[in-house]
Amino acid sequence: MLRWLLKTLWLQKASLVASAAGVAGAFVLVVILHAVFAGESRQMVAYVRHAAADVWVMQRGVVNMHMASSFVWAWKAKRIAELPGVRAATPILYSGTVIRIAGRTMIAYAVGLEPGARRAGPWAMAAGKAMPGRGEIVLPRVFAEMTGIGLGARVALTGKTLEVVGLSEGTYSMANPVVFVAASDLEDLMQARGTVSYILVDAQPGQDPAELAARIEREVDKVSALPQERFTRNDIQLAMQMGAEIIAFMTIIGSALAAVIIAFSAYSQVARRRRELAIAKALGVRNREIYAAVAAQTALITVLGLVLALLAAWALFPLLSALVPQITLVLTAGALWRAAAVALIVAVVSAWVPARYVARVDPLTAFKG
Amino acid sequence: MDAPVLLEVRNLSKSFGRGHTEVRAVNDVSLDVRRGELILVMGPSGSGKTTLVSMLGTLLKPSAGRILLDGVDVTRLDEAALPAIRAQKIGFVFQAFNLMEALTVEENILFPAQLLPEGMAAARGRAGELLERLGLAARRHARPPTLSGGEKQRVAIARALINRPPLLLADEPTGNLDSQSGQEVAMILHDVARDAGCAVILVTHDPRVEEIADRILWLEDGALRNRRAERHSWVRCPVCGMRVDEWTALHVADHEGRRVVFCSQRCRERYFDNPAAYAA
Repeated sequence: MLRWLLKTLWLQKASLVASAAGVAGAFVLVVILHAVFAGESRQMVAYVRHAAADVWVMQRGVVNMHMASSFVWAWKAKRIAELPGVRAATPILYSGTVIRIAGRTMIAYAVGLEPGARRAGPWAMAAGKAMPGRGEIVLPRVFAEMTGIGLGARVALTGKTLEVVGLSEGTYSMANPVVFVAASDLEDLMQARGTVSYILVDAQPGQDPAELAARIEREVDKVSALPQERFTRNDIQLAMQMGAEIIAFMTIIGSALAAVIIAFSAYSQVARRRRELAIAKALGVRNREIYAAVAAQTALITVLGLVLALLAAWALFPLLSALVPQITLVLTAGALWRAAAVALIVAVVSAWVPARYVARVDPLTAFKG
Repeated sequence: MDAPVLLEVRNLSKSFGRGHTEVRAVNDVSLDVRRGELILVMGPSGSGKTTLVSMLGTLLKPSAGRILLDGVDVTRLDEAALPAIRAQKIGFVFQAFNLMEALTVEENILFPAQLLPEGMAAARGRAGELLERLGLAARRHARPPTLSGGEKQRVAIARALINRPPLLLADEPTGNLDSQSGQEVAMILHDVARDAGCAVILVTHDPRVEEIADRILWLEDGALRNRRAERHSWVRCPVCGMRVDEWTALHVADHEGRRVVFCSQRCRERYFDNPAAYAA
């Protein structure tokens, strides 16, 4: 039974390829959306991950960095640095800003660095220097590519003109690209003298970060302190809340599209063989045997579509990254499993449509010449 | 000694529609068919032949009456049980051959074997024998579109026989074949009944097949009747020499003031390609 249906599918290769390609198109949509989401989620916390402080200290009640604002008296950094178990405490200023580059306006998060605070600066450079001095700025490389500027160009950060002295790698995301400036410049812009936003605390070797965070909250007034892992998780959760619904909605649309394509192709494959199905039934094949074969055929089209989608995604990802550098694509195992699970559900739902058709085929049709 | 009765049909009727629009396609038909018997069901178009065979093949539920096949009243079985009866007890041969286009000759023949409890293993040997017996061994890997009409019908017969059913139902098996292929198929069905002990019920308009039948049933207005003898008027086809009933022949022409009766369209075309060759 299965052999017959598979051979029939093989006989109509063009139709099989068209069906699989249609399904693949829908799944590519699902996989790319997940990859964009995963990439963007990862990039949104790129600074936090790479800064890799053992403990993050901020204004009491603040629990993350993305879209947050925090003000802590600068002297508290010194107080924290003196606590037992603390190796170093590096303060940074942090603020959402508007930046004008070559006539284009962009949103960016600015990190203000004290001289010598290299550990809080960019972690990889494409060109130039990593630590900006007064009147200088380090931009993500992607910004430079998008606007066609290079080192030495002048940009306006919330009205203040700065010279581009470095292009950093891995600091761009659609939601929060990060630029680095001197803390004094950002202090001027924020009119926040004597304050910092976050304090990156490095623990002594062997010191448990959770214990250290608790100690800081006990010893220093009006601050929140969170270990790196918890602080990162909070930022990711926020990203998920902001994008998950859109991605879920797009996944449903992509999956529904795939289901319609699979159901239609499976239905047309079956409808085209109405007469042969009637013959099979006349010869004694049961409906349930035909259902099973039709379900296997639908599953085959789905799997073929899924494999094609993964191959297409694998080929498309580098191309998309090159063409649209502002998008970070990350294909995770979770996304693949999700696509496979969606494919399975889609196949089961889609098989139901031709199965209904099979049930209605009258074996008596075989007698009609 | 008579062979045992395989098929008992009692007061079988089938109606379509209701009230004023009711049509009785088959009306109170009773008959017994023995193993090894070849029965022809003949009659004018619309007389109920296909309806009768469809009911015998369990593809159509009768309105009244019963059908006992090998001792089982198939009219009382529910729908779910009928496919197994068809797979094991009945072989079908159709006018339009009805082969699976994607499968090879051998795979087509083996197709019903997958429906048997014992599976395919034993059937492979039988398929080999049938391929040899029906002259299809060299074509076992061919697909239906590459076969001639006669070959297709031989494949269909082999498929019908693969599960060794006691009953074979053939609906106009020679209807789409030229005279020579038609005769071959008729002889194969005759051998099936004689050698395999299979009861063969053959629905046909083809008078040439009458010679091989053990019995002829004449169906008219859905009921079995005595056939009128005056319907026969045997003449010879001038091209192939086959006997043709002038009264039922489909291929007749007037040529040079003479009525010429052909067995098939092919013979008619051959005749008019060169009438002088067949003048004698």
